[in-house]
Amino acid sequence: MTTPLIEVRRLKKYFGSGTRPVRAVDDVSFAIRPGETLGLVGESGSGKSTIGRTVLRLIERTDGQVLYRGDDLAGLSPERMRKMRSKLQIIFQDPYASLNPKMRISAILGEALATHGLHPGKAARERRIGELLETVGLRAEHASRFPHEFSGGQRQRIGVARALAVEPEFIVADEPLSALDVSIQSQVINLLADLRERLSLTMLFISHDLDVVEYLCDRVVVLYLGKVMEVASTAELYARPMHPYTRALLAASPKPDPTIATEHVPLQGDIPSPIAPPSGCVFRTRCPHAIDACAQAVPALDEVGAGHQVACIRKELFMRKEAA
Amino acid sequence: MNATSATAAPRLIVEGLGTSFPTEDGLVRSVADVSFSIAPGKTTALVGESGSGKSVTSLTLMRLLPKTANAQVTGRAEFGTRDGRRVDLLQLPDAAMRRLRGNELAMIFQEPMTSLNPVFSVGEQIAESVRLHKGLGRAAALAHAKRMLDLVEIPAAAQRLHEYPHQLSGGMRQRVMIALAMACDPTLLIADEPTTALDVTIQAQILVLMRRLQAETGMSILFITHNLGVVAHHADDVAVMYAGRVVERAAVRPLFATPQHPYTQGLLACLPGKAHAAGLPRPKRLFAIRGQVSSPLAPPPGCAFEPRCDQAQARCTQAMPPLIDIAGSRQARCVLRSAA
Repeated sequence: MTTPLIEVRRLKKYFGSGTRPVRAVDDVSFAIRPGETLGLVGESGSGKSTIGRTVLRLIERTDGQVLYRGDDLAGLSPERMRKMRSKLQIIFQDPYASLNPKMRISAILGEALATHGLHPGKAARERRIGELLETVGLRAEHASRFPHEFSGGQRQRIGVARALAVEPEFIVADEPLSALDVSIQSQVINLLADLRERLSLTMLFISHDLDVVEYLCDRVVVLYLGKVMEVASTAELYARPMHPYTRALLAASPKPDPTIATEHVPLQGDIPSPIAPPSGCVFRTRCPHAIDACAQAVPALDEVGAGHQVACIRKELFMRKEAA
Repeated sequence: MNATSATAAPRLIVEGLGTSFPTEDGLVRSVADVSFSIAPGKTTALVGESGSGKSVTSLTLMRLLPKTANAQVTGRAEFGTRDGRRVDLLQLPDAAMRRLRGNELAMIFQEPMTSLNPVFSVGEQIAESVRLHKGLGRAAALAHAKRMLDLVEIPAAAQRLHEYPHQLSGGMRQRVMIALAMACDPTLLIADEPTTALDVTIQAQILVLMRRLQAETGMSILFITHNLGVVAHHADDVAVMYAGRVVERAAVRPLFATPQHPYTQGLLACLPGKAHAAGLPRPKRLFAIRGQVSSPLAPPPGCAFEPRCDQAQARCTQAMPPLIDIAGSRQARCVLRSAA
């Protein structure tokens, strides 16, 4: 087994101090192999964006480790971390909010290059900016324009170009498609898939769209209220979901085909507050299969098959069903 | 579909609806030549991407466009009232429209936080509409509001009645919005992206609730959405909009099975959830519709979709094709389809 490019160990991120902090991320572990795209799925408040930002140290973790090629990123001085950022980049959700409206595209991309001292000299830098724009399907002459002159899909391409400018190895893509229309979404999905292959990128792909995750990701981590519910390869997870939450999530996501009958068992109630998460299994308050024992202890993330882990004390329920 | 609903007059018939806004840069035709109808107890979905005119269509029908927008509205919207009259919503005097709106015609919006009033308790907001339309007293109206919260399955309704919108979760707020809309037992509910701001498990709850209420009350629903998964399971008929016009109309199953307009075909083909059948490997690339929607200030001379269409021919640039009847009682706005 190859060493992971990124390894997250028992990561915790609590917001607010005192006795009742918001437990946004609570004891999350996973690893991403070089060249792999790992999907992080969950609903609002599951902690997926917080994990993405904590991994890159855009916000500081409360506890746990984030290892990049075996080294803990938290141990790095601000100066070394800044250098490291040329390897670790992010694409944000909102292409309207993430580009400075007062900067030309050449300045937005040039800033990334200048920060890391790449392609020094005016001519070389201009050439590189043109090259980057062409990489993401725009034209070199677009460099002199301002963000407002572009559509949402084009802006997201600029966001991708900015992340690629410093030749990163690892990209966190935080809901990069959710602000885009369907017809534009597929253009950006294709772009991400092409670039990933051409530049052998490793990706943490954060999304609430299960269809997009199934299409783009190699493996998937399912989160609920800051905790990992299930981890598996994409094919395995979509074919044999074992955690009641994963099953509910897949059942609730309407398929664009009227001939597929959806088994409608929507979950009751709302996601509980992360300030006072339920004892034991955090999902038990909405789980149709919960029993008294679920409130007793936090279920361990157990291996149920090759690379397939589930945090549920009643997982046998679905394992037997699958075997039968 | 049973015999009575097949023969009953549609609850709403929209014909040749157009909405234009004068701007500094010229007249913007946001909606043009939109026609569709909704049968009693049925759901018609208006589907389209940003700027396709679906929300402007609903706001025009409800006469909720701001006066300052100086909208120029054309066409007809014939609505069958409870007392058996047929009125044109676009021509009705303001006072008569106010009597219908919130009463026989109700609307729910995408963002329940901005469409509920933050300074009134949810009970007061629901009570307001029944006091106005049904002439109920304060106590009777509040009791009705509680029944409405029960109807939308809000737990501990008696207590929630006195809470304010900020005290509720997104899903609960959308339930309150629905309770408000249902308060006067509407016959037509316009739902503008009602689940877009919600998580999928909450979306499923709200959709099941809307279905139940429709089955119980026989109301018609105009469902405005960009989510084709939701359309597939919650609409009877679909009108696909592009750049302000309906480009295709069909019943939901034939639309998904054999889309006729190149835009509908492209829209369905580019969904990752449609990219591969179960058990088969995923394709290397997704289908993508190239380019982007043209500016409403500079529409192409012919078909609005022609610049992005893979099947476009020279004649597509000549004139905007009409929405023609094609085989299977459906319609498409494309010169490549022959009339039935």
